[in-house]
Amino acid sequence: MNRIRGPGQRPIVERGVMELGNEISLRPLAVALLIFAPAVLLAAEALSQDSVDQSRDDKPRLAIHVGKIITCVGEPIINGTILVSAGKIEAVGPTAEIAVPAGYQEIDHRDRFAMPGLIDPHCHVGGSSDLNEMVYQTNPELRNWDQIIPHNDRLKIGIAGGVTTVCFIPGSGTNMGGWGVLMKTGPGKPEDVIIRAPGVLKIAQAGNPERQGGEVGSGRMGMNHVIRQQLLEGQYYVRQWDLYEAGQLEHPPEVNLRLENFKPLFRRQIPILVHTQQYQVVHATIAILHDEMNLKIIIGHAEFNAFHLAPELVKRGIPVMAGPRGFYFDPEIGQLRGLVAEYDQRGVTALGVNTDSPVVPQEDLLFQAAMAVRYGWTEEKAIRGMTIEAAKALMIDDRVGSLEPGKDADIVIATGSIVDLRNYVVEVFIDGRSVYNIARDRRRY
Amino acid sequence: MRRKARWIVACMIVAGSIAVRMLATCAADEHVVAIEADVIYTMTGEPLTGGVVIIRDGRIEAVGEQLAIPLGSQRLRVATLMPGFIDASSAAGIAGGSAEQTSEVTPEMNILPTLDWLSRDFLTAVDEGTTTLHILPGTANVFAGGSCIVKSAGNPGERVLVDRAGSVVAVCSDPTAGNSSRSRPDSIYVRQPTNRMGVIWIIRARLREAQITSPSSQRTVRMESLQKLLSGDEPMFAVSRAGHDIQSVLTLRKEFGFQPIIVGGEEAYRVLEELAREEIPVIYQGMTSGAVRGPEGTSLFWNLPGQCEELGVVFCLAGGRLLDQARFAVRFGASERAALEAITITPAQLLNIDNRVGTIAAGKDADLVGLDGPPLEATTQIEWTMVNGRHVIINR
Repeated sequence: MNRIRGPGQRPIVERGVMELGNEISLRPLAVALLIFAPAVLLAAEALSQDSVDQSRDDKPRLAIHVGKIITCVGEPIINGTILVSAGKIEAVGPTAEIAVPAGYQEIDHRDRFAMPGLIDPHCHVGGSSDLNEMVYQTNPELRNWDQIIPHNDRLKIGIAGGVTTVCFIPGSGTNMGGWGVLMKTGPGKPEDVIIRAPGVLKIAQAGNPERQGGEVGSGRMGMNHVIRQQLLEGQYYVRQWDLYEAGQLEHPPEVNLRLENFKPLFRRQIPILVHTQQYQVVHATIAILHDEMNLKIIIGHAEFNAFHLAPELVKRGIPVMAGPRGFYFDPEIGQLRGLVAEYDQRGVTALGVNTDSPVVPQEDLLFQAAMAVRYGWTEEKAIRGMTIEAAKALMIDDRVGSLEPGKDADIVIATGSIVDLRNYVVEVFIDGRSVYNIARDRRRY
Repeated sequence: MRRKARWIVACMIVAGSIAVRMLATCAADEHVVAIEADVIYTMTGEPLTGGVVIIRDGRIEAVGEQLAIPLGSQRLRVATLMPGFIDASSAAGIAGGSAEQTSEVTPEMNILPTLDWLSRDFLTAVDEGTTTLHILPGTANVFAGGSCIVKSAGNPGERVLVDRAGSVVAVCSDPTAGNSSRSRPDSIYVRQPTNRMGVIWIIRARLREAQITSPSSQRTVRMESLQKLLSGDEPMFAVSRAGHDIQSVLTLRKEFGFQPIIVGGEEAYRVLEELAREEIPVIYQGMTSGAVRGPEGTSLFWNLPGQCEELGVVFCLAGGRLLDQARFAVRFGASERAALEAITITPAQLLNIDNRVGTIAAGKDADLVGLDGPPLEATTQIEWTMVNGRHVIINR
C-alpha cells in the first residue's frame, strides 16, 4: 500500500512512465474475458463473438508464409516467411532461408501481402466516450486509461481495416485535455492492451477550445498564454524533481498528483499530440512547445494550410500526422490541395495520417492514406506513414511499426497493397494471435 | 398550499394503512410465538423439515425439528419459513433529496437523518419480504456520504441497525450529470466532473489530500471520513456499473488501498477474475428483467450471479424485489442455495450485521418471511412478513 509517507522520506507513490511501463509489462496469465465474452454479450451485438480462444500464457508459435512481405525496414521480401513466438516476431526472411522449427503452426498466405499492423495516432474510440472535461482550460490531472474498453465494436472494425495500435486521447474541447494512452486494438484486459500510459499529452490550440464563459482563452493569444503557463508549472515541478534526483536538493519536492505525468514529458520520454491546424497556429506550436519548452511534439490533426511551414518542421524533425480532412481548398489557386502530398513535396519525411475516429471511422485509416496517394504521396511512403513513421512519432518504434525480429507480432495480411482500395484485409495478428480472419469471422470491412 | 395539502393527504393515507397493518399484528413483544413450518430455511445449513421456531420478545429463542411448544404461546403455521430478506442496496424512504448538491465531496454527511419512516417504500419492502435495508445516498456527487442500515417496519426508535455502514463513492458517470462549464458561469454546477476523467481525478485528488494530511493538523470531519476510507475503518461502497468503471475501482484501490464493495456491478463479468482474486464483493442491482441494457448503457449478462458463484466472488442481490431476483438468478444458472444466500446471510455478513439478522438461529432478531410453498417457485407467494417479532399479514 502506498499510504504512509513520513516527512523527508522519498515518496512511495511515484508514478513515472517507466515504473508504470514495468507494471504494465507484467501481463497476468489467463484471460477470463475470452472465455465469457461469447456468453456475455448478447446476440443483439453482431460483432460480439470473439474468435480468439488462446490464452496469453499459451501464445501460438507460427510460421506465416506470405507472397510479399512489406517489412517497413528495407526492401520488401518476395515469397517470405515470418516466424512468430511469444507474441513477438522471431524471424523474417525469404522462405528459402527460414527453417521452420518443429511445433510451429504453418499458415499459408502465399498469394497475399503482409505488412506491419497500422497505427492511428489520433483516436477517440478506445473506450467510453468521455472525451472532454470542460470546466478548466488546462487539465493535466486527467487521464483516459481508466475508461478504455479493449476490443470494443469500433476497434474490432478498425482491426478489419488493419489497425492494430491506436493513440487513444482526450478531446480538443479544452487547451490541455489530459493524458492519452497508447493501446492495441485487440482483446484482453487493460494491462494486456496498453502499450504505454501515459502515452501522450493532448494539447489543442485554436478552434475547438475557444472559451465563451469569461475565462482567459477566448482567443488565440489567451489560449497560447494558458498553455504556456500550464507547461511552465509542469516544467518547474519536473525540474525540482530532477534536481533532487541528481542530489542537488536535500529534500524531495512534495508529490503533486496533478503534475506527476509531466515528468516523462519534460524528460522527453513521451510526446505531445498537438491538435493544431492552420499556418499561424502551427507556428505557435513550434515556437512554444518545441523551441521554448524543448518538448517532443507531433503536429496532429494537421489540416488547412500549415504545410507552408514544412521547412521549419523539417529543420526540427517534427513529425506531422495529417487529417482527418486531408485536403485544403486553396483560394489562391482555386483548387484542392492534398495535404500529405504538400508536406511530402516540401521534404517532410516523418509524415503520416490519422482518422480522429469516430470523425473518420477507425477502419478508414487506410482510406486516408489512399486519398493522400491519390493527391501525390507515394504508395511506399503511405505504407510507412501508417506504420513505422507513426510509431517513431509516438516513440513506440521499439515495439511496433515494422516487421523485424524482436518487435510485437502485429501483422496485417491483405490481398495486396492496402493503399489500393480494391484490396482488403484477410487476417490480422496482434501480439502473435490471430484476432481477425475473414474465413472465420466473416469479412467485416 | 396545494402541494402541502397533497402532502397531508399522502401522510394520512400512509398513516392509515400503517394503522390497519398494526391491527393485523397479532403478537406483542412479551408474547411467545411458535411458528410451525413444513420447511425452514435457516440459512445456517440444510433446510429443516417439519420444524418449529420459538420467538420471545422479538428474538428467536429456539429453532429445531423436535421442539416442545411452550404453553400459552401464540401459534402460526406456514408451509415455508425463511429469514427476512436483506436488501443490500436501497434508496427507500430518502426524503428531501438523496445528495448534497453543493459539493462533489461530502463524505462526512449521512443519509440516515433524511429517512421518512412512514414512506411507502418501507411498506413495499415488507410486502416483498424485505426486513432489513441498506440505504445509500444518491450518486449525484462523487463522495456521496455515509449509508445506514434499518429495519423495514417497527417503531422508529427500534429500526436503526447501523447509523453509518460505510462511505458511498460514485465511480461512474452519475456525478457528471448536470455539471457543465460554459452555459451558466455563475452556477454552482460549473465544476468538475463533467466526465469520467474528472470523476477519477476528484477521487484521486481528495484521497491524496487525505493521505498527506496528518490527522492532527487539519482535523475536519470531512478529512476524517476520507482517512477512514484509506485506513479501511470504513468500507467504500463504490457505485460502479460499467466494466471500465469497476476496473477503475481496482486501479484506484491499488493506488490508495481502500476496501471496496461494488454496488451496481452490471458489467462485473468483465473483471470477475480480478474481483475474485482481490476478494471484492459485488452488490448487484435489479437483476429481474429480460433487459439487454442496464443503466449507463451497460450490457447485461443474465447469469452474472452464476458466474460469480463459480469464481467465488461474494455477491448479493439487491435493489428491491429480492425473491424475484433470486428466482431470476436461479433460472439463468445460479444454484438455489447461492441465490437464497444472496438475499439473506450474504448481505448480513457483508454489512457486518450477521449477529442480528440473515439467518434463523437462536438469539437472532425475529425477522421472518412465511411463504406458501418453495421460495424459488414462481407461483409461491409471501403470506406474511415478521419484523422484530411483529407479524404483518400480506396476502390473506
